[in-house]
Amino acid sequence: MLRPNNPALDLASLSERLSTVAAELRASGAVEKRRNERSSEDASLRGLLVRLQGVDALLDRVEELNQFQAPIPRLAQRLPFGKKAAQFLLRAFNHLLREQRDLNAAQARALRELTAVTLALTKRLIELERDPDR
Amino acid sequence: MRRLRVAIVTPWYGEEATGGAESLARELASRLAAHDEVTVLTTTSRSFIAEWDVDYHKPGRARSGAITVRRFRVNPRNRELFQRLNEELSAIPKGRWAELGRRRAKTDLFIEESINSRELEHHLAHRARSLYDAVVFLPYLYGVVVRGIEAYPGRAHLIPCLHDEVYARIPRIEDALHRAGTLLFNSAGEAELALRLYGPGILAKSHLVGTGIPPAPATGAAPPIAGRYFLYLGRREPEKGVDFLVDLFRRRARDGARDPALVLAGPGEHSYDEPSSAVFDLGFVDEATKIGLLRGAVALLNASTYESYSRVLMEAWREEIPVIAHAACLPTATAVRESGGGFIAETADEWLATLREVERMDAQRRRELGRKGASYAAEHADWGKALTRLRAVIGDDRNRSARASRRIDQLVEGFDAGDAISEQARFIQETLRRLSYRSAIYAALVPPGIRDAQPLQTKALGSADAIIYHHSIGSQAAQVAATARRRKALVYHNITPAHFFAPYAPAVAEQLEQGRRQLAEIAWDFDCIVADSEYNAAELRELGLRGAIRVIPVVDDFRRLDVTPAERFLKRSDRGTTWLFVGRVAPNKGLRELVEAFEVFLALDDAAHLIVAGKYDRSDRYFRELQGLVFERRLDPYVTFTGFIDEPTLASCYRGADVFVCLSEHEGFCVPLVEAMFFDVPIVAKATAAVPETLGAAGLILEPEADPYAVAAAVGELCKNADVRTRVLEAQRERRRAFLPARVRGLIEEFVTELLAVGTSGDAWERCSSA
Repeated sequence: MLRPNNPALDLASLSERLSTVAAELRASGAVEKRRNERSSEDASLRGLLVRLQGVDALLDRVEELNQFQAPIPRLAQRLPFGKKAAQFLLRAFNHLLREQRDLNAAQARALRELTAVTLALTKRLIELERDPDR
Repeated sequence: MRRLRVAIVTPWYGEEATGGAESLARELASRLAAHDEVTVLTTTSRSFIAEWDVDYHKPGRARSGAITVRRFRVNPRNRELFQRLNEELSAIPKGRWAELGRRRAKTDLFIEESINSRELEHHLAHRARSLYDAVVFLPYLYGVVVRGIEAYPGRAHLIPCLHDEVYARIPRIEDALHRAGTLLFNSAGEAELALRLYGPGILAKSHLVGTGIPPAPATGAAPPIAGRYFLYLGRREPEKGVDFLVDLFRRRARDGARDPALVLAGPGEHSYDEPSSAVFDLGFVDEATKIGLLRGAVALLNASTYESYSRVLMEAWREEIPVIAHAACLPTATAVRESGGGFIAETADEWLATLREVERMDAQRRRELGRKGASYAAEHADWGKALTRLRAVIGDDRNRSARASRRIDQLVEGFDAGDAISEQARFIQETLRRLSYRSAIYAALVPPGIRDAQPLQTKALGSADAIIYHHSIGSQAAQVAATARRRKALVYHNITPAHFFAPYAPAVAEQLEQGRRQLAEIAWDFDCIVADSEYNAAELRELGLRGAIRVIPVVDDFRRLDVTPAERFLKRSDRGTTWLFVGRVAPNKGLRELVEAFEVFLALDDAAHLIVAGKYDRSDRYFRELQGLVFERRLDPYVTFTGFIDEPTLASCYRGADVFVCLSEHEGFCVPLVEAMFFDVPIVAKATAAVPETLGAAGLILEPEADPYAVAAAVGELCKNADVRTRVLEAQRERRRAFLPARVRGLIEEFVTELLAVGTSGDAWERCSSA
């Protein structure tokens, strides 16, 4: 378990102690028990945190969809246009929607900031609930 | 020898000002005055034991032999408030001293109500630069010095006379140490204490100057005591460990051991005389009697834990008498350890055992120990040598460097504050400039606001005599360096294997792959090759490079950490064990395993906290995955991802941490391990890549396959078993010597000399490959 790098340490007894503690922790199920306890603690605020995490993931999707479109969409490939015409149309489409994309990006950024602030505040609330004296 | 205009700033000066620092100030002034123009800047207060807000001396200039003494009026102060604050501070138990960093508002008042002089501060702020070449402050504790350095920042030379006491943790005092231009220590132990208290940021400006004792008089009076005795010399006060010594001899007497006796000599109000316990208190003795006592002693005892130098230790060694010192006093214990001139002991039982050992020793053996101490004292207690070292520091003006002639430039792909490669490039640049070379840093990517690097310009490199290129990723700068027809060196910082990034950031993975391809192509074009570690050097040899590869650790002088820590992550009494990892959030850093191991540890300590101090990108898939794990396990109140932090916050992370845990799967060197060693944070790490090499005998190193339970058990052992912790820390203190800025600077200098000695570009490796 341990590398014998430090001659000042009694490696054999130290390794034995570590193995014993690790084995006890594994066998006792204390880690899972503590995890369950944490889940039941201040459940409502924790639920909020999970939902806020979900908002962050949705915003990732928004940003992905809002990207400048380079490949011709599969649906457009079925239309009776040549490849060059389709690319021209795509460029025109991208150009026409550039302000909309800027707007979307700004909104996503604002929402992300808001989510970050709410997340921080919720964490602070949880801390305060755990330790009201602070 | 240039005659310097030196000012010495000290709160009290004159015959009535007794005490170690006051005597040192007087002696320093008189000895410096033999070469230099010395002005003492002090207050009108009489002495430490008089009122600090009463003008006893007349303000203004006066001559005292060759020295000018300039006195400034003291400020009025609230004595009661100061007294109350002092009592509060004194009542804080040692285990909670570190928490003082969070009580700035209160401790600031301690300085404000200490001895201060607004007139002296005004003089320092407005006149000192033009009147003096160097301003030396001593000692560290008082308002005159702390606020004086605030009025004269950056250029102040501070002789702190540092003790391991609660006051040394006051944030305003720490500010002064960081604001000072240089720190001049009386002993190696004092310098080590400062390093432990204030971190590696002070290393670059720390100098071991030492002090001195007068030569031994030819004759001393006969000792006024018959029989064998151990001797204590100095102030006879409980703070100096006198009560402790007397208790030891009471215990010995109870056990029937009255020979040798204990003899006490020195100033003090209270008599400890207790013949029934073989304790004889001689009170204050004259110099001749003191010398006589020293020459007749079995050994000198020094049980004080509040020393920065201990003059009597050196005086005992000068007389070839061995010493027993307190192990908890770093300055004296270090001197005894380094000299071999005696013993150290900590607990009462250890002291009693050591006393028995020394009393049974024959005179010849004791003399041998004393002689070892004497040769140490000849180096560290010699005024001539101390003054030479002091003048070398205070007379040094690095801005007046010789005319720069040759030019060595550096190329990096990206340059950013706090990044290890950028910091090393900056350190190399500073080293080159000290050696009188011109030097610039060019980078393909320079963020706004960065002044130390310039955007990459191929033309600008044309005037360089040599180029140092730092390689760590696929790089535009690599091609520029490879094609430049100059002497050139490659510094290889390792490239993280792309497979770590492929699932999360394919573009980064591609850039890493490109970096490896580039390395294989360009490595042959360089005249000298440097690697951060043997691990990195081995990678280069695998490419077929067979010539000598220099290994220079990717560390700098840590000057960026010369700051007082922010309060954010400092120790709190209501917190459990604080785990720390420093590094960017990246897939090779083993952060998932770290979080899992930390969760296991919560079963051992449910108030524990994990801090991951390093940059992350909120949109990075790996970071989101990691955050998901933290939420899923309900660990968010226990785990903090700091993101990018400034230096004071980083310093607070290290100062507040109980253990540094590194489960990285790939590191080419790992600078944070070195920083943790310098901040005295014990390390638990996995034996992956260059990590075992960087740690050497330091830290607890786990096999790479260790699971989270094993990691948690190792951290638990390190935090709860004082013996293991002490041994690990001692090994870390030894190991970190290899990364001291002076040593690394020496390696850089050797490498630069070799680089400039090379003929034309490409020669070296052509020779190597054809050999």
